[in-house]
Amino acid sequence: MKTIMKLCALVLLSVTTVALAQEPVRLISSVQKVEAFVNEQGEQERRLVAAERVVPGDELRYTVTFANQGAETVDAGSIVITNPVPNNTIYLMDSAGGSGTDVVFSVDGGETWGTPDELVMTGEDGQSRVAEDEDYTHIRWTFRPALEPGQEGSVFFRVRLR
Amino acid sequence: MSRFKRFGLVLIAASLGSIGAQAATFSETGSVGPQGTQAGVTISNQARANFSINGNPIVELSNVEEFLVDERIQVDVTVQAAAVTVRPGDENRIQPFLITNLGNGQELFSLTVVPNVSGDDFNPIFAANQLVYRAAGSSCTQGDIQASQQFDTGNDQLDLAPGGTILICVPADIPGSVDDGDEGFLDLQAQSLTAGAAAAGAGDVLAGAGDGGVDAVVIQAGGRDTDRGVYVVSAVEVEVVKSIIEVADGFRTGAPNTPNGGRFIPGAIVTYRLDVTVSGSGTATNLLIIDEIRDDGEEIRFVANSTIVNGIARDDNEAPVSVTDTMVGGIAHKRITVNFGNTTPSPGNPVDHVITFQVEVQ
Repeated sequence: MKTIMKLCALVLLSVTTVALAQEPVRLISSVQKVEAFVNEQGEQERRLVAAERVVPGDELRYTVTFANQGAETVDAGSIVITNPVPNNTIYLMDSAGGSGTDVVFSVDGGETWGTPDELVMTGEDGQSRVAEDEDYTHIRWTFRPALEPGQEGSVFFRVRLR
Repeated sequence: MSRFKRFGLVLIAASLGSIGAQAATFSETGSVGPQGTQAGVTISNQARANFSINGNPIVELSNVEEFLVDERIQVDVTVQAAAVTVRPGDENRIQPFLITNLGNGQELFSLTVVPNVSGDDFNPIFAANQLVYRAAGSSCTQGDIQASQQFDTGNDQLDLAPGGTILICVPADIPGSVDDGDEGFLDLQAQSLTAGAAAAGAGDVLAGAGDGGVDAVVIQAGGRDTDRGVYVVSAVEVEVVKSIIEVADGFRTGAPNTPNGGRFIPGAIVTYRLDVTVSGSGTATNLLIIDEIRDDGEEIRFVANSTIVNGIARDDNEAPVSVTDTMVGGIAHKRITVNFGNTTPSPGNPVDHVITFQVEVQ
């Protein structure tokens, strides 16, 4: 009986170790709706609410949280988070950010990347133009510092539902 | 509105049909395009992280975050005519209304005509059988409305896809007792038939009432929209009678087909007369009388400076006369325009104008 229990404990320890080894960084995506409201002073304000009852035209804020739940430091500058602009939504210009991150974008499905002023499209008239919000397909953040065990960070962006 | 609920409504309407007209449902005949993401669509997101520990590359994926798009119930009714000019006693004068489903879900609507609106001078008489018409084309002209396209406002309903449009032609009669300048209003209302929409306030949520069981958000109070058609009475009548009063062929001068009348031979001068009578009440605004005379040298040619208005001879460009060159059917013509401005008769006292001008037979 004891042997069996020891065996079970070893198996559990083994599973946990494997899980930790496979997921030293935990990545969580969440979404909230940006809701406009009038405060008690009669002023227009915005607040984040649960993404329930979302209809076309609503603004949404996505947050991606990353946490080092392992025992080792994640190399500085190595964390690169990539998020496609969700289906049926339009990226809202200048809405992407995150502490300690550099942000670039793609307008070709993630093939090439650049800052907004570097992203150029060819219009229907054959002329080049700076990419517009509807052209954006992906967002990419590079976290500059190292991420020590137990530390976490987050990045965010906003979209409008088509 | 969910498909299940729509069936329910149809069944109810059908049961009413046993004691009245059979309900019918009609779809859009046009579209202004999608109205955003369709209700019930799943929006999902998943992020990816690439990183390294001690130089060893690792890839992680986030959870898949999902939510369903809810239904927006919104309809637009827009009258397609600025105002319809009518005469006392007119029958079946059409007001055209365009109905558009501005929501992102399939939606059923009823239609209600309100002819007895307050704030106007008279009530248009809406047809007793409560029928309007679904236009097959883009207008409510005769060719676009037919008896087969009748829509019974008491029973029938519209079933419009997102962005779907349909032109509704509402006929009404004009009372015979109205006066010039009187206005009569006629409203058309489109009402969402989603359960609870009629009693909802703007922004209210109807849980589970949207397509596929998602929530429905009612954008307009009551889930309906109304627009107003305006009839404006014009009791002024303008009549123009054109005749030849004289033919001078160098031998005889007189009315045609009389013993003293000239013959229509080359060189003959023919005098035309336009009798203009403005009668009724009200004002004929900016009254222009225009006649176009062939002037290509083949049959006749306009005689310059021959126009006489109310007994006063006028040169070709002397007000109120204007004579200009124009082409009609590829043939050179003279356009003779006489501008009488605003002309206001009174009942029993019509305003008469007489215009004469001459042409030469070629």
